[in-house]
Amino acid sequence: MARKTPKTTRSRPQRQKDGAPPVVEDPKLPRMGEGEPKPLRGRAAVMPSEPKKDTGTQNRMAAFKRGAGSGDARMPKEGYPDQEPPKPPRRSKSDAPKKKDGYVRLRVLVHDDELSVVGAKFVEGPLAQTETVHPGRAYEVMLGSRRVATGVVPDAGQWRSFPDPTGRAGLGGHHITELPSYEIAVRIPAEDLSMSALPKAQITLYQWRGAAPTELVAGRSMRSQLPGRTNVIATLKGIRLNQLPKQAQAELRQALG
Amino acid sequence: MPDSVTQILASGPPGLKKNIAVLGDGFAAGDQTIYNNKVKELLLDGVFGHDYFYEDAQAFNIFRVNLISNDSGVSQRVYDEHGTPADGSDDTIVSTTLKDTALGYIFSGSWAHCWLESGANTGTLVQNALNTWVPDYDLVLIILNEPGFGGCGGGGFQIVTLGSDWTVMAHEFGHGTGGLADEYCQPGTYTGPEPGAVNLTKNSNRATLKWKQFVNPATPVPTGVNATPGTGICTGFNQGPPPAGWSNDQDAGLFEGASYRDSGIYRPVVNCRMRGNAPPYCPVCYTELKTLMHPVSGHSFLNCYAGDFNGDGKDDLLVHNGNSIMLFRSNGSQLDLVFSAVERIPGSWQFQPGDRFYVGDFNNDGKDEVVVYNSTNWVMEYLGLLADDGNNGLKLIARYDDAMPGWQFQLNDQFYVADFDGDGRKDLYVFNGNNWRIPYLGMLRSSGTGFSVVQRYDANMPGWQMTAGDRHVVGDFSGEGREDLWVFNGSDWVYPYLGMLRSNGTSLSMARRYDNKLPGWQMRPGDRHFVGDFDGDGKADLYVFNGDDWSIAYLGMFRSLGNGLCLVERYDGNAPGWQMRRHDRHWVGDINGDGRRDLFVYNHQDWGTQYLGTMRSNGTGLTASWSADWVGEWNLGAVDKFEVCNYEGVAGQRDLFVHNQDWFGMIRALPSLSLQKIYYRWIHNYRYGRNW
Repeated sequence: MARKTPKTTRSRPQRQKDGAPPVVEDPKLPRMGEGEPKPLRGRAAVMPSEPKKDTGTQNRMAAFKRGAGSGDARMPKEGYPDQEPPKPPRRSKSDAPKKKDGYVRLRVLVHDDELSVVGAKFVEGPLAQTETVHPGRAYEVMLGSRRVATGVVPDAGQWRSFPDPTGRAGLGGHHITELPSYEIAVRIPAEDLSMSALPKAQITLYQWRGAAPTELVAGRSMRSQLPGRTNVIATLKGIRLNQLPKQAQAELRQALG
Repeated sequence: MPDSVTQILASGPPGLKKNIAVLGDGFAAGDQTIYNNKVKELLLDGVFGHDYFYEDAQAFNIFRVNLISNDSGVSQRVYDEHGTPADGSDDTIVSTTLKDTALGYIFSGSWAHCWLESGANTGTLVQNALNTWVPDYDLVLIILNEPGFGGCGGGGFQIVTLGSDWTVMAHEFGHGTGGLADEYCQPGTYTGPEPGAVNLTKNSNRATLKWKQFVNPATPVPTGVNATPGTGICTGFNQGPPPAGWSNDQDAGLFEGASYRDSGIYRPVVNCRMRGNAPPYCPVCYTELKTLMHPVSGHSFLNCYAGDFNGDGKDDLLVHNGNSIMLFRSNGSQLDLVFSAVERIPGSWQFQPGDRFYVGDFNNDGKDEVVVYNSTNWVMEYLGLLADDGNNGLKLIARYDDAMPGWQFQLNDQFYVADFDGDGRKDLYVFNGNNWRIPYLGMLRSSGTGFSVVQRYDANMPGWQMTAGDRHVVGDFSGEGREDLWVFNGSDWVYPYLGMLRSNGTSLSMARRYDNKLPGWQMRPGDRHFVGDFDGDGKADLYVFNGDDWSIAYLGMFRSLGNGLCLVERYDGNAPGWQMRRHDRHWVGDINGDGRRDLFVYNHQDWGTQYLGTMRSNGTGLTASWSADWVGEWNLGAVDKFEVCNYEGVAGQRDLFVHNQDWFGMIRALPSLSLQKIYYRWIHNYRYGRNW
């Protein structure tokens, strides 16, 4: 276990010591038994020895009736219903329409050393951005000199048949078919991707032959940070909407809304 | 019947989790039950019911898409393999029988053709289905309504038949989730560069081996050498006899043969899931999956609770993370996962970040149950009772929504576990001083299967006017076998007050109220109370600590007389072996198992380093000892939390679970403190080595 806490250098007793006198925390305060106890500041009442019964009615629980119900919860035959989530707050008319929180999922085709966008979807909700890269394939999305998205691609580019369960000779492992092209999913925070940003977006797919998972510095390109051999598998320099297949154009327009 | 989607594992928003889409092909409307059952069998009970994926289920969402095919069963193709089933290049098609199915897959049963293949429109149909139902998918499982064996995987996809079993799918998920390489062997010598996959290497040097941290120094390296390259064998342990207790899937070494070669390349164990499918992942593959998925799972050790959930006398561990819980069983010296539940448990209780847990034996069966309360994440408050499901897990046996007869739940309800009627079943005291015009205190008696309010106090208890600042502790000060209620208020009156309220099982009576002073002790607002029978006479006594209100810190030991207290010892500034300071924090335990309740004490704020100590009672005084800065490998820190427990199953209560975001430790007091076990990020007992 690594050291979690830096050692303090403040001028105070550093170590417990047998036989040392009591540590005075605040010399302005008395010791127990010194002088008469003072009443607590801002408090005037003493607790009555026989408190009066409450007779109010506002903001009270319903009256308690002893034996009114066992409270023994017999489970309904059909089980308990789902717990009820709170309703989302109503949006008032004065609320300005906001760009929805979410991200864009691009379907990117890898063919030889080229990447092309073949589909896009807007997905609502938060996106976890990984800053840890593991040896293997990974992509990054740069906007200018700023890295806005990263992801690992653990498995791509081949089909594997399951091993034959009957143990026929030669069929014990996978039969592997290397694919000339395959798709990867690239996720980009919606706030970073706009129609105007598309031509500036650069997507790169890497093969990194590192030895161990590596933490990246946010924003900087992966290649400049990864020790060991980093090969570029394919790159897409700029997403040009009018050069995409019609279906992808429509999906990307809708995703960027 | 229209197509539809059902989320069968709900761990969190899709952008924060790995999303598995399951599609079916060749399932007509009348086949949907078969399909649903197969999804459950393969994924929920199979892949996610075992080892790694069971542990990290919280990293995944699973969406089951029900696609209705017009025909039942899938298209068929027959190949003439010309006697060479491993070579598809010479195969010819004998026949193709097409069916009208949702995705158009064609089953061939030919290994060299991946057992199945796409139809003319399959790619588009699959993509359309995914776009419609699971737009953000990471992994895709497609099940064909075909009884024969077959399966084809790659690129995060798996297409399988009804004849497939979950172990091969778990192997494939190893590719799709962790980028793990195959460890199959075929004739041939590897001559390429060092492979990128974590579970392959061409390096046979122990000092620089990728997975050296998992190889016992006593294990020879290499461990398995292929003396007959070209035969296609995967070597076993053949460099001497394997030691007693050797595990072929959990003990790491260096075994020749992997990645479709039988020499020149090595794998970590004899038979990992990436070779044999059925065994669990080896330490190398397991650790890679855990490392990759740990941030996705959202697991931490921040919310930990101790309890003996199987009644073996050893306290186990319950870990709560957002919408999941996990139970780890203690064997006396280590913990092992026995139960993992995401989103809900049978009953049902849906876990949320705001769940508060209270552990106790509420049905007197010798096993601890769990009361869970949530007043923040739902439209109303919920209280549930979770009990042993008979299979190492928990299930909900009672739930109260918003209220129970006699008690209306509110945001700031505070619960105290105590057997107030002495029937051996823990009950609950509940107090609310904030959310009503007047404070309330309720006594919720457990029947073992639920709770009922046997008494409620509105505004007042006998001899005590309740206010918002009341603080409570519980303990049987009368020695009658019923746990009583102690209440202190140091903030709302002109003087502090301490009340001792005796329980008769259905109500409370004031045994003694102290106004302003205890015997030999001037009460102040900063008094902190800890109940424990420190003299072993069967009556719960009281420790009182004050580090705030005087120039020095004070600790008092007050013996219970059954209806009052007497001071047996007061420490001014120092206790024997411990210099008391303002921010000392205490927990009650029984460190030497003598039946006298002692104290654990911790201070991370007032000294140049952190101190964790024990203060052992002899009935009339304390003797302390401590560890500074480190307890074994555990570096004490401000973020550490402690749970007093008895994970060893010995007399008393001398153990501590210590935990923070990433670390979990098991400390025992002998009475000197020693660390027995330490875990980083996840609890796993490696046969050798560890994950940091």
